[in-house]
Formats: sequence, structure tokens, C-alpha cells
Amino acid sequence: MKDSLKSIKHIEKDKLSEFIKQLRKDFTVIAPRNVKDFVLFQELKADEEPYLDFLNSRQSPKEYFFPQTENIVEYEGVTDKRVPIVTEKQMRKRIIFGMRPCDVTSLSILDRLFVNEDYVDNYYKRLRDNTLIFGFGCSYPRMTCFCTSFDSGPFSTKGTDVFITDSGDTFIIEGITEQGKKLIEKLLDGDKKLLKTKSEIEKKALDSITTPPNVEKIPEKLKGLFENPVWEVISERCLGCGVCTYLCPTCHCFDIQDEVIDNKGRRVKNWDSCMFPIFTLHGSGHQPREFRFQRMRQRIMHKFNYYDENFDIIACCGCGRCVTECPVNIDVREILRTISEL
Amino acid sequence: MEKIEEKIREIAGKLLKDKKVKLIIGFEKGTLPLKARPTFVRKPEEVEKLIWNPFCENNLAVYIPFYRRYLDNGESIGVIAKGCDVRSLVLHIQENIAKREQIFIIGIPCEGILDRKRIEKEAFPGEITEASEKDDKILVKGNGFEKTLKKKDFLCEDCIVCSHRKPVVYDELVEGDVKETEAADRQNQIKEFESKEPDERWKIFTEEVSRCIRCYACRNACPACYCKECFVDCSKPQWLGTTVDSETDLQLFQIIRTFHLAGRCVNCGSCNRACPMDINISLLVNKLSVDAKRLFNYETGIDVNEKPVLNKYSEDDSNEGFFEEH
Amino acid sequence: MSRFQYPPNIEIVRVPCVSRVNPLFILRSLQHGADGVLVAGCYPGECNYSTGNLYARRKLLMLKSYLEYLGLEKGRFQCAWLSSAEAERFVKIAKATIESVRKLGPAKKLVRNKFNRD
Repeated sequence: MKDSLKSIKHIEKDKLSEFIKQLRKDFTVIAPRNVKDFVLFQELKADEEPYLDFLNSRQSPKEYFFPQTENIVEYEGVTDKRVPIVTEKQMRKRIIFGMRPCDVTSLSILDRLFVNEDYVDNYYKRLRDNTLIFGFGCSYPRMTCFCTSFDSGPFSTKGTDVFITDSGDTFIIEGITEQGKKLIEKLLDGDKKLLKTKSEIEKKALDSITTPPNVEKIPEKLKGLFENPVWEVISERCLGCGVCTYLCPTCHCFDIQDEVIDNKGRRVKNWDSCMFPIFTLHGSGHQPREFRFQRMRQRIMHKFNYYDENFDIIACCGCGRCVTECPVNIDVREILRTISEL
Repeated sequence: MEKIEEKIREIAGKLLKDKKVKLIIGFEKGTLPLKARPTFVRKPEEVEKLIWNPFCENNLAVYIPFYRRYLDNGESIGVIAKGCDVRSLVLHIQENIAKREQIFIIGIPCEGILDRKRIEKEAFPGEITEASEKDDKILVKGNGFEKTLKKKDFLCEDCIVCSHRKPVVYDELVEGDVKETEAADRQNQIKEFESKEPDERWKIFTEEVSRCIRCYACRNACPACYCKECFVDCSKPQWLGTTVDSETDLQLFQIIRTFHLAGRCVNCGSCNRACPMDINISLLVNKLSVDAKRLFNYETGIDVNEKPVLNKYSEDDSNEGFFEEH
Repeated sequence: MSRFQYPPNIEIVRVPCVSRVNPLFILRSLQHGADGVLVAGCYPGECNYSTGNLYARRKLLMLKSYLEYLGLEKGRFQCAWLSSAEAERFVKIAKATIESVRKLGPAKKLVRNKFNRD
């Protein structure tokens, strides 16, 4: 008990900016910022305070590990004898400050794909190894949140280095990993009372997630549903845009392109979406997924069946962004319930 | 609202019973408090789920190009369409996507759609968990707050200057009392922007589109964007890059997509509402509507027998801006 | 051009009719380094294909007005009516266009000369 108490700290809310300033000496701090009354994770400028009074960000911080546009290789100054490759600059370590447990879960989901014993994506690994995560508890889960369906919860500390709870006028700060504990060493010590306060806030948050879909049997259920006409019904409303895929913390399809400007060029990796019309378009012109229901089926099967078969985990973390932002209100929770009742 | 809903269900039920249409596209209740969502009914008993309220924000004409297989078979489709949706349907008929006889228009005089994002900002950083409307007010509830808002304060910008609230063409019109906005002046909306210096305008435009993540929600929500191959997907030639770190590619995407709507956009605002980064696309497309009126006295989607503005010419067209001898 | 001298910094792209000009051509030129774009077509009424330039006029009018509304400098994108027999007029227009573009300076908006945003 004493050991776990040692890693409990707290900080008054008005002292937070001082703490962040200290962190910025050695790390680039990426934190929530208020952009036109919605929140995005962006790099904090000098003396800027993170905007922590929010439910969740519009886009997930996935782009800091799997950037939307990433140079694979870049060259500059071609001569007839050499193609000089631009060497990567040494990366400054980063802290993602204020990341919600659902987004942290998504990283452990992506880890299984990008860093496993058969294959290592060095671009992802480099960003992952150089980033520390300061998780932030969700005192007020949204109506659309269902992280509890996925072995997580509004105050799950899994995958974080430090975990912060907002308890009104102070932040309760727990060191989870050794690296995290070191960074919060100098903060004020906490006590058993703080832990109790945290568990009270946690209980209230858990109680507010009233009807998360039960996904335990979904991967098995989906196995026999490929030819089922339910897909046409579910997807009739879908516009085929890419909002759900681009806001999703676990979607990871990408496309590689080459670009040239005069004597410099680069090979670049961009996000792709299974909803886009040229996704899986063959060079011959044949398009195996011509209709929207085939794309919707692909998306659901990929996240809830194929990924589970390959990596033993469902590729969804219950953040609910696809539900809040879909222009035609396609609700993945509804889809999961429909499937489980088939 | 209830009267309109009843009438919609009555008309829709009759159409399906008489087998006049294969499918009716309308709205049903969404799973979020401020949302109504598109729905598709094919049987008379299904019409009970059809609703109508000021949260019916999608332009249902966007689905017509998806039903080519019905239209090619000679089948008809019914659409529950508000003022702007009707004009989009007229555009589709003008551009030969569907024949007039194949689209059964159930016209709804629209008082304007509520700007869900602006209402949600009233609760920011919290969220709205319950919303209901009564007469000219909306009651929103969230975690620890409750507010009554006036509908007219939260109409979408495009609805405030809507020029055709009453459907211009219909097969059945659901009665409702709606006044056309007085001298709907879209010109005023762009006047402020036009009064700025070019460099400042470019700066505002660039800042607005710098948030774009190329998700193409605007394109897919737009009923006028139905090209089989969009210019962004063309690889021979590849007109613009697909990255988001190139400022010019983002500018180019927005400029070109919106310019493809020149004289075809009905200013329904679906693009604004679909955009996950809250980009003000109206800032761009409003100019196109204003120009179509100013240069060619043309309004999109009024007469099914008319041609789209760029598909015709007049020998008296202006030569504004063309090289002049000095 | 009838052996008249015209400035060397004009790159001519031949099209069968001005109506072949896709707005994408104009914007792509500006993106890929052109400091200015001049679109020249036959006089209305003299189109080789009878009505091509009349359709193009509407398209170019709207495009020009739109780009200038967004803040592109007046003078970067120019349109002119020109007959293929008017070599002298072509030189006059070419010189005038180049002068006005030169006054505006090298293209700064829409030009793509680096990969990453700052």
C-alpha cells in the first residue's frame, strides 16, 4: 500500500502551467487545445495552457503515432551521380498530455499490427518509443461512449505513463510506469483520501455508461454473416465519405504515393479509407467493392472479426466519435446490437 | 410539426399502397438528441417511422444517383423534400439523372433547419443529452444545465437567406404556413468578405481550409457531387496531391470542388453540416450563387425544363474582366 | 507568329477551341509555377466550332470572378478574345499580360514549391 501511495501526487489547478513549463524543457508537449469550440490535440505553444475542460477531442491523437501524411523517404538535390537522401532529424521526445483511456486503448490495438514478431513498422515504432502518455480520466463520459465494452473504462490506467484525475480544484496524479513516476517526483505527495476521491469519481463515471453493447460474441457471430442481407439494410443511409475512418482511433489503412517538385522528391504515406471509391480499385478497372453495403460490411468485419482473428483483439475502443460525427447518424452500437440479435 | 408528420405518413402510405413508387426516402428519429436521419421505406406499414422536425438537416436528393438500378428499370422514387432538396431534385432532372415522372416529390414548406453545431456549442464543453422542441423554442438539457433557446436564433446561416422555402415543384405539397424571406440577400453575406483586401481574403480562406482533413464528407453529402470518378481520384492525370501537409493542395481541393458546383449549388448547407472540422464552406459557394444571379440572372433548380447555367449561353453575356484595349 | 517578335516568357499551350480549357488546367498551371495564365479564344461569333467560345465565356467569367473573390491577385488569370489572324494584337496582349504579371511579382499564392507546411 505504501509503495502505491508513493506514486500518488497532486497539484493545484493553478500550478499546472508551471508543471507543464518544466515538462516542456525536455519534451514537446502535445495537449488539447480549443479550436473553434471543439478540441484537437496539438502542440502547445510557449506558455500556453492545455484546455482540459472537455469531453473528448474531435480527432483522436492517433495522428501523432500514425500521421495522416508521413514521409517515408525524401531526397533533395539530384545530380547525375547521386540522389541525396534527406536524413531524418533526431526526434525530440514528446508527451501527449490529457489523452483519454479510449484513445490509449487504441494504441495498444494498433501496436499489435505495427509492432509484432513478424513485422515492425519502424515509422510507428519510432514515434511510439519516443512518446510518453499522460492519461486523463473521463469524469463525464459522453452519451456515445462505450469504452467499457472493450476491457477499458473511463479511468483505466492501462498503457499510460502517468494518469491524471480532475477532482475539482486539484488534479490527482498517479505515476504508472517508472518513466512516469520519475517525471512527477517533485510534485506534492498524495494520500489515501485522494485515492478514495478518485474511486468515487470513477464509480459515478462508470454508472453513467448505461448501455454499452456487449461485443464478446460479435467476432464469432460475424463469421457466418458475410452473405447476409442485413448489410444492405444497415448501409442504405451511408454516404460513403471517410469521416468515420478518419476520426477513428484504430483505423489504419494507408496509401503510398510519390511526389516530385523539380529536383526534390518524396515517397509519402497517407491515410486511406475503405469508404473511398478507389479503395481496392484494381489496375484493370475492376472494383470488387462497388456498392456501399460491401464497404460497410468490410469495415465492420475488419474491425470486429478479421482483426480479432489476426491479433486477438477487436479493433474498436468505444470512443464514439464515428457516432457523433457521422453526417447521417449511422450508429455502430446499433449495428452491433442488430448483429448480435440475428 | 405533428400535423405535417401525419400528412407525410398519409401521403407516403397511400403512394406505397397504390404501388406508385418503389421507395420513399424520408427522415426518422436519430440516436442522438439533435439528430434526425435519412430513412428508406418500401412497405406501407413502415411509414410510421417517418418524422419531420427542424433537425432534418440532410439533403435527401443526395441518394437519387445511388438508385440508378431502380430508375433504369422505370421505377419511381418518392422523396420527402424541403425547399432546397426540391431544387436539388430539379437539378438532377435537368442533368438527366432521373426523369421528372420518376421522382415523386412530396414537398414540405420549410421554416429553416436548426444549426446543430451551434446549439451544441451552447453546452460546450459539456454535451446535450436531451433536446425537444415546442412552438418556436428548443429546450436542451445536459449534465447539470438546462436552457431554452429561441429557434430563430439558431437557424443555419444558409436557411436565414434561403430564397425558396416553399418547394418550387412538387407532386404533393404538405400544407404549412411559411413565409419566404424578404429579399433573401445572399449578397449581403459575402459583402463583408468582399470588402477586404485580396491578401487578407486569401489569408482568411487559407486559414479556414487549413483544417481540412480530406475526408470528403462535403463531397459525399452534396447532392450535386455525383461524378463516377471524382477529380481527386483521377490518376491520369493526377490533378492534385493527396497529402494534408500541402497548403496549396488543400486550397486547390476546396476551390475546384466548389467550382464544379458553379450554378449547380442550391446552398442547402449540407456540406457545412457534414464537415467534421467545422469549415465554413458557405464562404466559398455563396459567391457562386451570387455570381450566377448577377452575371446570368440564373437561380439553380427552379424549372425542370431549363438547362444548367453553364450548359447554355447567350450572345449578350458579359465580357467582364476580359482584356480591354487601352 | 507572322514573324512578329513576342516575349520569350510565354509558354503557349494549343487547344482546338477555348472551350477545351478545363479550369483545372488554369489552377494546375498556377500551382506548378506559372506566375500568370492567359486564356485566349476566338471572338464570340467567330468560333471555329460555332458556339464553343460562348460556353467557355460563361465558365471563364465565373472562374475569374471566383478566384479574384478568394483573393488571387487581379491580373494573374487573364482572358482575352483574339483572332488567329491578329498576330499584332496577340503580341500586344502578350506584352501587356507579361507586364501586369511582372508588376505583381513572382507567384506566392497557390504555388507549390515545398513539401511540408511550416
